[in-house]
Amino acid sequence: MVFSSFEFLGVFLPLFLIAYCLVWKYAKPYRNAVVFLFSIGFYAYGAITSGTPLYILLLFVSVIFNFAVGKELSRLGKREEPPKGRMKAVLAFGIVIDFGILFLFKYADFVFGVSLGLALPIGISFYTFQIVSYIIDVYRQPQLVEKSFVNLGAYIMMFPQLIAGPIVRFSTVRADLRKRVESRAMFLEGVKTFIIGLGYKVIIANQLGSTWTQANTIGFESLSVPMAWLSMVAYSFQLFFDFYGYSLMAIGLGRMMGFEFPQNFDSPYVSVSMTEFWRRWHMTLGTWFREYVYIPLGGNRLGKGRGIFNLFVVWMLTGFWHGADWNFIIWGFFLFAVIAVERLGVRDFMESHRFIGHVYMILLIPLQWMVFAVSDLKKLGALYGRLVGIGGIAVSGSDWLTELSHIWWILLIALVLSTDLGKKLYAKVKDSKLIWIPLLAVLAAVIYCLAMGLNDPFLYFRF
Amino acid sequence: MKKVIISALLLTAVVVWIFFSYSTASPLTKKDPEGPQNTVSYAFDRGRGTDSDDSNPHPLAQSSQLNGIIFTKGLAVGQAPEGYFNDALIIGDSRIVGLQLYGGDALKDATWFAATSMGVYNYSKTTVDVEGIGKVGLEELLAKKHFTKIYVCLGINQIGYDMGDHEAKYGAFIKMLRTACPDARVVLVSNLHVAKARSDTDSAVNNPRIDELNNWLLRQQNGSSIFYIECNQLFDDESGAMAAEYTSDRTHLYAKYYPQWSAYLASNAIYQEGDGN
Repeated sequence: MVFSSFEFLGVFLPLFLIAYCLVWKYAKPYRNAVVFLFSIGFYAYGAITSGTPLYILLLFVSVIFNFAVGKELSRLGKREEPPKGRMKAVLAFGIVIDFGILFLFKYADFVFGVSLGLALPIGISFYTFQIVSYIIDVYRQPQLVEKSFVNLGAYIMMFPQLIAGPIVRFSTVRADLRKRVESRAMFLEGVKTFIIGLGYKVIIANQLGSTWTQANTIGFESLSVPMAWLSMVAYSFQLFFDFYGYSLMAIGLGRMMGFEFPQNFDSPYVSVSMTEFWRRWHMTLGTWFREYVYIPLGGNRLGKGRGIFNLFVVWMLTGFWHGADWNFIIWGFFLFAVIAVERLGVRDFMESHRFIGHVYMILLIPLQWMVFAVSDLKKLGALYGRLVGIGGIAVSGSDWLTELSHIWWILLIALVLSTDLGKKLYAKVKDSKLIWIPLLAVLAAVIYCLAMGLNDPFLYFRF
Repeated sequence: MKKVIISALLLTAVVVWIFFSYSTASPLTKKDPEGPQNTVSYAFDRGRGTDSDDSNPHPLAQSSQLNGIIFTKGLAVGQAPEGYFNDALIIGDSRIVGLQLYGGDALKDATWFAATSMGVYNYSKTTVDVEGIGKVGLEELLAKKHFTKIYVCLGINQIGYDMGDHEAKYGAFIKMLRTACPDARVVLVSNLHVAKARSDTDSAVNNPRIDELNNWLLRQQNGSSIFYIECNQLFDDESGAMAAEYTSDRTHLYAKYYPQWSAYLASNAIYQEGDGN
């Protein structure tokens, strides 16, 4: 079930909030149980309606397995002389099983050229990374272990971030799981954040998404040059506001329950280098790879050559995490190449010549998103060709004018909100009671869009 | 460690269960029977159709020589003469919008009244920016300009509605056109099929229903003022669905195929002496 749906907004969320508030008032120790149960229900609804009810069992038993792994690591780690070798074996076993399941569902078909025909369990890329981060953290610090199965279940399956992140490290929420203070102020802050995220997703992302859908329907070889660029820019904004909106909704829902989830985006489109961009885009994924791949491999502490190799591994894995296809591998390699080159001085140059840096990124960001978005390499070539007027079959010269007339105002809003301006303005007014006027207007607009059927599925749901 | 092993075995059992339940590679998963699920047909070909009226086919359809188009009263079917489309109106939904934008020069002289989501249920509420006239509704357009040929390609947007009611509404629509332009030839263009992937999974928009409507459209032709032209053979695969490689959304053609469609319509025009002069 997506957050921007009537099922969630009109049924699930009100029921959850009522149950949570009642338990908070009369049976506080059971709050996490409510979160856990509703999260199971949330995922089960999606699994059942997509014809794969067993996937809820898969997730639930994964929680049981990793709970056992965590307990075992903690038991071994708390000994006077922890048997590091045995602990490594237990951790390795856990990682192999967790990633093995991810590999089976997501990568086996591509890697082995077979067709198992298994639908991808929704959110498996996110929750697997979250689960693995837990057992690695317990291996490193056995005292971190969660002794309550319900608490661990609530952490792993928490519906706000279960299917699309942010990828939350256990240490971030450990204290909140055991003892958090929900307050009216935090709850209202959560509601505001949720509404903003909802607006980003439904009003901005979904509407700009129609331009990209249109471009695909037309066929890239038939786009006029301006339409090709317009489609690319529209997609870039759609992807950002789709994902950022969803992350904000997750953070807002977490705040309503008293959890403080990490931010996932920090105005990435104002970056002046690709290095900076990936410190601002999907930050929790970047943190995961840094903590659990780059640094354990040695980071850049073992010499330049090894540093480049480690960078290569991280970016190839990042690309592959996003999808099991050649375009994601090419995309990962492209990012590695750009970031590696930036280390040779390009980044420093861009940071000291920010205007040039912005121009550099304004071109590079949408161009690299096309590799991400188009899995058919022939079609990708056709699209890149149309950007510079190469190719062209049955092109309608006025296609971009019609499209622009529909979306110019959303593009403008997206442009402004993708900078820091929106955040700075919100920070100034968020505590004023008057903020509710535009927020309720956004909510009304969202409901209108949903009622009119102007609702596309979340782009990152294929992960 | 025992709990780790037991839970790992339990997890493995669940994965195996999932494999045998959902994987298409599993010997236990129900597979589709060989061959296409939906036997679709072109409306003019009764020999292999799903039309329920097979026992009493329309007599004019049997005498059809070309895609079910019958010509009488000095009418002929063939390449449209120069200027043929100057007084032609083409009415349609999003697919006709595509035809207008990407169909090239073959039909460019026609007047277009095409809008996304349009059908015989909502045409009266639809306004279109018509070149040379401005934003008008269909009835207003028919009152303002004289047409001798009216092409209609509607139906897909309401194909999920009750078919009897849809046909009644369509009949009323054709009657409205005939009343507004009594001497116009109304050419009913077949609704294109959708791709097999959509047809097999969509209970509303699927090729059997499209064929049912197309069959009804075929039965409306009278040889003098109402005609039917079948176009699905241009884009269908061997299963009778729109070929998957022709579409990205399983419903609309890629733009590069619209010139083929417009050329086909232009080369199968219902004309008589004096047309286009």
